[in-house]
Amino acid sequence: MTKELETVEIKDKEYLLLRKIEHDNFFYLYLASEENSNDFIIKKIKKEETNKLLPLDNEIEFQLACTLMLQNNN
Amino acid sequence: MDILKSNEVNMENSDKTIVKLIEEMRKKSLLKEDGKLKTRITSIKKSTYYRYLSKIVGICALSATLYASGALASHNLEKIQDDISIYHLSEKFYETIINPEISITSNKEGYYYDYLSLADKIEKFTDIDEAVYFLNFYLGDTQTDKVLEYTEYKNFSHFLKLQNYESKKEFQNNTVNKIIAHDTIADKEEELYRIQNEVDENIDKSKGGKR
Repeated sequence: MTKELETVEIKDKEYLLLRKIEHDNFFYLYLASEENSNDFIIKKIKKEETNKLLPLDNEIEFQLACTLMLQNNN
Repeated sequence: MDILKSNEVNMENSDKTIVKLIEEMRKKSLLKEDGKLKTRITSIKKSTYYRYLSKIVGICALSATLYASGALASHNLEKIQDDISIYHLSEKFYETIINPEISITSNKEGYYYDYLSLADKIEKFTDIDEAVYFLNFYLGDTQTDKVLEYTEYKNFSHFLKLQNYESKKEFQNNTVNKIIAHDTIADKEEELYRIQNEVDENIDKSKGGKR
């Protein structure tokens, strides 16, 4: 049994898009490397500019993204 | 503290501690680097997807817990070790108890849980609080209700009432403290595998063959 996922390219490395969560003006992207099971990243994209991957601004936004993942895991 | 020793054993499968995983994910997430969302679709095994998902959810949960408790800032190592122990147990719980009871819908667009099987497993635990704690950790209140419908507890709020908890928060704190105070991780892992084996044996007997 397989599941189809979108991919995200960061520095020529491909990541699987595990989940995409909408919050305010952004979509938060939860990514995992298929090659390394310990390699996870959270990035964001603007709703009106979905092809440009952005870093999270700071520690607080990182914690926000973590909390959003927990809230949307049900 | 036994839990620290057993935790070291659990780390053998990985060179990285969970705290390092959180730190690496945090650093990479804040790093400005070129990246783009591709339109390419790739297929991965369903089991691999849920393993990745459970892992990142666990990392997010622990990160949020550590941040809220101030453990990272205060370098409260014992608190961090306790949280890591809970994280490892929750991951084992997902692998052995929840994951085998997830099925894909017939249109292959969603998934569902076998609530009856989950309820059967939950009732086999020595400490029902611990089982419901981990169940709720992964499934949330709504799905927990659906599992508990098949038990004497009927639903999550009734469970809290029967177990004499005034709030979900009190239940969570008390259960985490119980796990840390009375059990070693190895003991709890053994219980998880025992329950999974019992369930598998019952299925084999009823079907007259392997699952």
